[in-house]
Amino acid sequence: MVTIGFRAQKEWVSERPPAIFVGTLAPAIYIVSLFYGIGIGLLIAWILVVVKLLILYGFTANKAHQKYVVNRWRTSWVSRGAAGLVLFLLFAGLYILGVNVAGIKVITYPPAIQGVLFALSLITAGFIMIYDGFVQAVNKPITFWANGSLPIIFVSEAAFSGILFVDSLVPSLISNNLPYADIMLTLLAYSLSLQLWTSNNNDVAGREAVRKLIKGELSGFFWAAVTLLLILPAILTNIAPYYTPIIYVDTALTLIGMYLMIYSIIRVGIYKPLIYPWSYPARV
Amino acid sequence: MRLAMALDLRRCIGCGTCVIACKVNNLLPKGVRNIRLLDWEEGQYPFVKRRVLLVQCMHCENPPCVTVCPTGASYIDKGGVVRVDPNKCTGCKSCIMACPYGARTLLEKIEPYYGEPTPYDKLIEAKWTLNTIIKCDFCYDKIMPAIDKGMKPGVDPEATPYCVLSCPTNARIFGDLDDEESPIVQALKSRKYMVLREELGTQPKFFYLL
Repeated sequence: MVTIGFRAQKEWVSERPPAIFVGTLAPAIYIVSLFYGIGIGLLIAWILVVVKLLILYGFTANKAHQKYVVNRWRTSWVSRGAAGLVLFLLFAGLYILGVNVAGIKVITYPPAIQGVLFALSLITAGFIMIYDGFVQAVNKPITFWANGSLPIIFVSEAAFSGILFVDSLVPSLISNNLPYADIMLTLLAYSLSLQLWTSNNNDVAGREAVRKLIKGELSGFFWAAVTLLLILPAILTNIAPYYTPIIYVDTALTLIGMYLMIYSIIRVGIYKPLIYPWSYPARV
Repeated sequence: MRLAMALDLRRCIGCGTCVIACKVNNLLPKGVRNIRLLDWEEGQYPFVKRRVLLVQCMHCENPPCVTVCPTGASYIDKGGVVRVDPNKCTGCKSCIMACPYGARTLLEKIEPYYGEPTPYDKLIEAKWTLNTIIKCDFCYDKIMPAIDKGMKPGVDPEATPYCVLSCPTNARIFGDLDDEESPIVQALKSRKYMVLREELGTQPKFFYLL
């Protein structure tokens, strides 16, 4: 067996985690707010998507060529995502204008148009919530990312955090949302376990990534994420689910945990060594 | 026409001449290499062996860099050569991330090699666009006009990349996979060969002769 070391993925390491964080959290907040008609939640989500777009725009080195992105939606998840973000901003922006946000309602739409905007903004929000996972998962050389569980992890953690975020905006919704939050937390725990297990049993790069997360240099971030995103919320929501201050603490911990989880996952991207396990005959 | 390259691992001595030939003839800026020379030791002293492996763009038939490019800047050109259009590249680095072979570099700055810019440095500055991707393109601008004139890739020097021409041990073989008489087809027929990361389904067109 020969190995000359793993090559870490170094691109986007600092920019991707915040982009994925706001990019998955925002649509989750939007969808929950949409169903309960919480105007301020819709507006916060819309602003977060603008932030995401600015981050994406910020880390492309050659900004003058951004216009070509729209041509490639058929083949590239990056361009599909960018198109989805723009469409979401358009549809959600129009929808929000017709919703009461902090006592202000700009336009009153006919019910049919309101319904169409509701549906279109919901579809685009759902799309931008899932696409980040796919952007990462199409990177086949990085075993830990090229895993079907990854999009589910991103979606479930965002949905859980989004539910808690809206609960902290309107604490009276806690009793309604608690079962959904529990489902998302269970889904997250399951998909994360599956991700670690399949990566560990896939190939040497996957195994190395899991080692880095569990007991390597990223273990601090990873275990902090697991504690803040999975363990503490599960305990806190079961101790006193309807006690309002708990929900604020819970939301804050969950958001920190979500960011740390995304950061750990992005940082742990490593390529399989090109010459492992092959060694050619030395007959020079 | 499917242009491809092979590296004879029995002949390659890891001298790095191809790396330098590529760098000089393609006016590659400081810090950019289209060919990487991996060099490592195997075994325990005193029974050690030195191993070398040259890695560059594999010009895959199913290139992951092309399918992730959000602007169409990475594309497959004539002869199956994977190229980058600097006029479309946003420098988003998606292709760097997707390439299993580490064959792409983002040109973030152009610096003179030694202090004051030389005429060579000025040529480099004029050639490249900042914040775009640089990668091997089989010396496309050199070989393609010659191929269009009817010259044979891998046989006629004008239709052959600089790395192949410069190799002191003839370890590099170039040609057209669709031409039965091409040197590369002959080599692949007569020798065992392998490609890197075959399991990813990228179908590389850079072969290692064992």
